[in-house]
Parts: sequence; structure tokens; C-alpha cells
Amino acid sequence: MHRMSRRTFLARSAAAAAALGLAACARDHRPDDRQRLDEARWRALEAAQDRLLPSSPGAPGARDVRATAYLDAALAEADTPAAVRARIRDGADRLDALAREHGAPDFAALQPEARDAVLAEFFDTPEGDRWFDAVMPFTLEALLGDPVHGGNPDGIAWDWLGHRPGWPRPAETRA
Amino acid sequence: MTDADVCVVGSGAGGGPVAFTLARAGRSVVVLEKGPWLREADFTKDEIDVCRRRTLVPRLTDEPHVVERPTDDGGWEWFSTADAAGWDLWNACMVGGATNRMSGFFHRLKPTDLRLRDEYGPIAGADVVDWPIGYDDLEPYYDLVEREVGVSGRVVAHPWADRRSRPDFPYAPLAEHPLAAAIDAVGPRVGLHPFPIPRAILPFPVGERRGCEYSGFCGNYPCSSGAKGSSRAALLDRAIATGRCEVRPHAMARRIESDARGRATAVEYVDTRDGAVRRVSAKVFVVACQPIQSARLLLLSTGPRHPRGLGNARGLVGRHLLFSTGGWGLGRLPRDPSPLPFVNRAVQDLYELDDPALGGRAKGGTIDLLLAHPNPIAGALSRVRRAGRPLWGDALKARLLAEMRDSTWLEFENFVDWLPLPDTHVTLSPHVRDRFGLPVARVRIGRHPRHVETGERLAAAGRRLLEALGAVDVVTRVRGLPATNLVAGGCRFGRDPATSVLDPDCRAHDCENLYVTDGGCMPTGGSVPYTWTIYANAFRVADRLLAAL
Ligand SMILES: Cc1cc2nc3c(=O)[nH]c(=O)nc-3n(C[C@H](O)[C@H](O)[C@H](O)COP(=O)(O)OP(=O)(O)OC[C@H]3O[C@@H](n4cnc5c(N)ncnc54)[C@H](O)[C@@H]3O)c2cc1C
Repeated sequence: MHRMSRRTFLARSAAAAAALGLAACARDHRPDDRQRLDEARWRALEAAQDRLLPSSPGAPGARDVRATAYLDAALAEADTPAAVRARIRDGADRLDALAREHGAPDFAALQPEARDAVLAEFFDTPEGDRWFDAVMPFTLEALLGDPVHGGNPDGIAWDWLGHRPGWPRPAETRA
Repeated sequence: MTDADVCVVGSGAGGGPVAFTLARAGRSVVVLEKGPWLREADFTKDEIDVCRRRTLVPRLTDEPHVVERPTDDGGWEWFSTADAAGWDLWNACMVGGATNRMSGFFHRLKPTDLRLRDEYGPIAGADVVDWPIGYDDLEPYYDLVEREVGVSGRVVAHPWADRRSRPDFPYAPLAEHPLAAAIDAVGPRVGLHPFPIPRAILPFPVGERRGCEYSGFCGNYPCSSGAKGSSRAALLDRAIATGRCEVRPHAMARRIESDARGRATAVEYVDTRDGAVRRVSAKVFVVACQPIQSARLLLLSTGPRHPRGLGNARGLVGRHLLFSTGGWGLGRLPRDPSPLPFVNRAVQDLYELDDPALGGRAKGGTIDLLLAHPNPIAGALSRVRRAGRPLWGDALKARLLAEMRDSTWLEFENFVDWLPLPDTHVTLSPHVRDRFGLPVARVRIGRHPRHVETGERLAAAGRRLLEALGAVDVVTRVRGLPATNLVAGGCRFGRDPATSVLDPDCRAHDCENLYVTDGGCMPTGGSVPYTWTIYANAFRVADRLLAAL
């Protein structure tokens, strides 16, 4: 038994997204609102993820693990509940709106410190708090998932945290 | 002529032993399993696929449950798990069921667990009753599970040690993380007697199964070596090798048909890939879908003599559903570089309590000790809030370094009886249907103050042990919530048809060729994770069923 895994179980219905799936498990793809992020939202989310997980020497951040591309792919996955998709997109719009209140053209145009201030302001609202819960799972999946899913290139974040992945790794079976 | 002698519905801990025993005894068996048939070569330790996507469980928008929970003003609220983040009652839909994903911490029930009412008396607000069988009826089958499923361990003396017919386990214990020895040394200093937890994991290769490869990531992950004693690897593969057992994956039973005399005649099932409906006829039917889905299937199986569903002449199907409860704790130690994943220690000194606040002698429980699960994404996600507020940026990264790179976390999990409650039960939802158009299971989950009172006493002992080991930042949580990966009850067995669904052989009182062999029969669940008991009882029932065929 594992408390963490049981919690994983209880909590996973909310999270969701990208990934290729065990070879033997077919996934159906139903047509709905799963289009990819548009240019403006991509810019906002990329700028936000860069502050949620900043890059620093020797310590990978969102940029180094391609977290926005990962998020974009995750939003298109059938497992991602529609409510989560909407929440993430609306949050991107909200960040841009808040930035404009501070006189910037959009969120990504702000300096890092100013972005942090806007994020903190956003997180003080219930909407921002929920957006954080929607975006962090995918951001951390990009950081700490198997590279086969598109993030964590060469396992850089595993190395950073001294994490030993279990085996077989998915790449081994898929190869 | 029927298609098979026996049709088993569900291929987990309840189904595997029946298919195995009957096929080896020369009978023909068809096993219907709702999920896919995945094998060792399909399994990886990929957290995203295995733990974070709906790879091994149905998507909740397709197949939800309805959950009813008590509100603070004494009423009930209900929601579909498709809409409520954090709730999921599926454990695994695949050949072998949830036994693929279990950690395989195996404990027997104690003789007193089968006669709780007699030992400790009634508890207000709970319907505690004794089992119709005793420990001696189960013991030979606990022993059989050690050999056939494969349980590794080492017998040591402690106050609640099991009564065994053989001196020791057939398989030597797995190699242990250094913390195991530290726990053994420290336990007596705080009045506790840690002992090695038996594991349903082979330490070396046996037959087609490889031995444990110590790659960690055991709980939740189907085992790629075959060392874990899943119903699939340990039993079904061998049943199939007899040539008399056929397993049909993607086959979801939706109704058991019955004739004018009330006998079950065939199972009607849906092919989950294309929606085609097919039937299997048999002489005997065995339901083992895990108690929530078993109750649902029986309630859906109306017939001329069974207007309220099979086994449900008295309206008892689905009643007194059991989980497990007790809470958990964890503490932080300096990083230990050992790659060995198993600590495998438990404490049962508090299996019985003597406490005036609980009315004197009362049932306690088990504390299992284990290393925190190594899933890195789940580990990081559990750290993105501090004092309830979002934690991000450099502060989050610093915390991940300190708590993940530089620390080893020892956890404990408490196992306390989930009392049989009048308001914990399964019915069919009048509102919500699944993608096959069938009413989903509606699960009412009550609460009882004893769950928390007992859990708190165990948590205090767990905390003492962690602190004696030098752990810091010790946290404990006891909230009386159900552990939804352990499910029993809902089809109580007993001698009296007025108060039980099944007879002592787990045959329906009102349908002579219908058996239920998952944990559904259990009137109480013991203060342990109870899959060993589910396996053992299913082996016992298989022998009774064979004798009656
Ligand atoms: C993460 C995890 C860790 C665990 N760790 C432990 C542990 O350490 N120790 C322990 O003792 N227990 C543990 N367990 C519990 C253990 O897995 C269960 O107790 C056991 O698998 C229950 O057996 P079962 O036969 O009732 O159900 P399952 O094993 O779940 O099998 C039921 C099967 O029936 C199928 N089914 C359902 N409905 C239908 C239908 N209508 N038609 C056809 N098929 C159907 C399901 O798809 C499933 O495959 C753990 C469980 C999980 C999920």
C-alpha cells in the first residue's frame, strides 16, 4: 500500500493530459474543443510557467523542459477534462488583462519581478488559485515525467533531484 | 450443453483462485473481464501513463460512480465522480484486476477478527456481526496462498503473531532497506515490536515468473517482472496452461439471466470495443467484480424469480459495504542512498486497545511502515502549497531540493476496521448512466467516530516510532476517510437468509448456482489490508463449489 499512490488515485481524476499510452491501450479521440493554444495564450502561459519554475544555473526550469509545448499537447488530450482546459485558457487571458491594468501590452511584456507581482495578485483570487491547481500538474509533469512524453530532456530534472527512475522505462518498450 | 462448466465474472483476487482451482480439477471455465489483457512486456514504470492517465481505469466521463457523502447538517449530498475532482472508485480494469497494482503488503486476519461481536460486543451505530466460519476454516487457504500466489516473508515472534500450520514462509524475505534494521532496533525502546511484513512478491524466479528486480515503484504499477502475485501472473496464466480456462478481455457483464425456477442460466456481456452483446451459458456462475461492481451487477440481474435482482430477495445486496481507514503519518530523515525499495515492517502491538474512553477492551489495528512512494511528479505536486497558499518560483525549487533530493521519508499507514455501517452501501443510481446506457453504482459512504478515535491512537504510536528513529517534520493525518483501494462487504455471508445474501460457502441463499467470491461476503474487514483473505476465501469457496458441481 502506498499513501502517496492512494492519494494519486483519489486525486487523479482532476489532472490529466498528454502522453502516448501503453502500446496495448487504445485511446479514443472524440472531436470537441481540443484545439491547440493560440499565439497570445501560448505567450502568456510560457511567461507564467517561466516564473512558476524559473531556470537557474544547474537547476532546470520550465523553459529547459519545454513546459509550454507540453502543456499545449496536454490540452489536446482526451483525458484532460473540458473544465481544466477552459480554466487554463481563461487564466492566460486573465493574466494578460491584469498586465494591461498595470500598463503593459500583455503579461509576457512584463519584467520578471512585475510578472511575479501579477501572479501573486492573481493567486489571491479564487480563479487564480484554481488556475494554479490546473497548470502545476502539467508543468511538473514536463519537469519530472519520462522524456518520452516530451519534457525533461535527457532526464535533466531527475538528475537535478537525484531521482532514480524505475525500469523498464517507456522508451525501452516502445523502441 | 452449456458453453462452460463455470463462468467467472471478474479476474482479480476473487476470480483468479476459482478459475485456477476449477481448471486444474478438469472443469471448463470462461472468465469474463471488462478490461484489456496486458502482459509483463506492456508494463513500464512510467508515472504519467500508469498513475496520471486513465490508462488502466475507465475515463470518468464515460463511466463514473455516484458518491453520497454526509453533510455537516446531518443530510446527504451526492455527486458524480465525473464532476468531482479527487474522487475515483475505480482501481484497475484489466485482466488480473487491482491485484496488478497492489503493493502486496499481505496480512492475515486474526482469529478474533472473525468474531468481533462475540469478542468486543456491539458498537453503537454499527452492525457488527461475526463470520459464519472460523480462522481454522481459512488457515489452510492462507497457507495455500503463500505457495500458489507466492508470499515471501520471515516469521518472528510478536504479541499478535499469526497462528500458522507451517513454521515459516515458502519464500525467503526480500532484501531490505537499512531502515528496516533501524526500526527493529528502536521499536522496543518505545514499547513496540516491529515484524517483517509478508509480501506477495517472489524473491527469485518461479516457473514463468521472474523474481523481484528491485526497481521500486511497486504500489500502483503492474509488475513487469511477474514477481508480484497478481491474479493474472500467479493464477490465470497457469489456469490457461491447462487448456481448460478461457479468459475473454473487453467483456463487461451487464446482466446474469435466470430462468423460471430462479436458476442462473447465462451471462449477457458487452464487448467494450464495439458494443456487441454476447452471452455465455454455464452450470455455475461466480461473481467477483470487486464488491461495488458485483453489487451493481446483481442488482441489474433481474429475472422472473428475482424481481429485485439476483441474491436480493431480502433487499440486502449492496448493504454494509466496507473499506479500510485509519490515517497515516510521515517523517523526514537524512537522505539514505540505498537503492533498496523495501522497508517491510509493521507493528501490531495496538491490535487490541484497552481504553476507558473506548469502553474498555476494543479493537485497534495495524501500522505498516514503508518508504514514501518514489513517484517524482506526485511528490513534487504534494509540495506546491505551503500553509494552503501556492508555492512557486525559486522557493518551490528550494523546497524540492531539500525535501526530495536531500531527504528520505519514512511513512506509516494505519489499518483500522471500517465498521459495517447501515449508511455505507451500494444502490443503482436513478440519475446517472454509463456509456453503455446502464445505471452506475451509487455508493453511500457514511462515517463513524470510532474510525477516527482508533486511528488517532495508532497515529500517536506511529509518531513515537518515527521520532525515536530521529525523524523530523513528523506529520500525521487521521480523518476517517475511506481507503478506496480496499473494498469488501455488500454481500454478507451467514447462516440466516433473513440477514445475509450468501451462505457460508458464498453461494446465494436465493440462487443455488450463483457464488460471489470477491471480498463481498466479508461482514467485517479486519484491521489489515485484506487481499490475502480475499484470495484465501476464494480458494476455499472454489473447493466447496467443486465438491458441489
Ligand atoms: C494501488 C493499490 C495498492 C494496493 N495495495 C494492497 C496491499 O498492499 N495489500 C493488500 O492486501 N491489498 C492491496 N490492494 C487491494 C487489492 O488490490 C484488492 O483488495 C483486490 O484486488 C480486490 O480483489 P477483487 O477481486 O475484489 O477486485 P479486483 O482485483 O479489482 O478485480 C475485479 C475485476 O473485475 C472486473 N469487472 C468489474 N466489473 C465487471 C463486469 N461487469 N464484467 C466483467 N468484469 C468486471 C474489473 O475490471 C476488475 O479487473 C491495493 C489496491 C490498489 C489499487
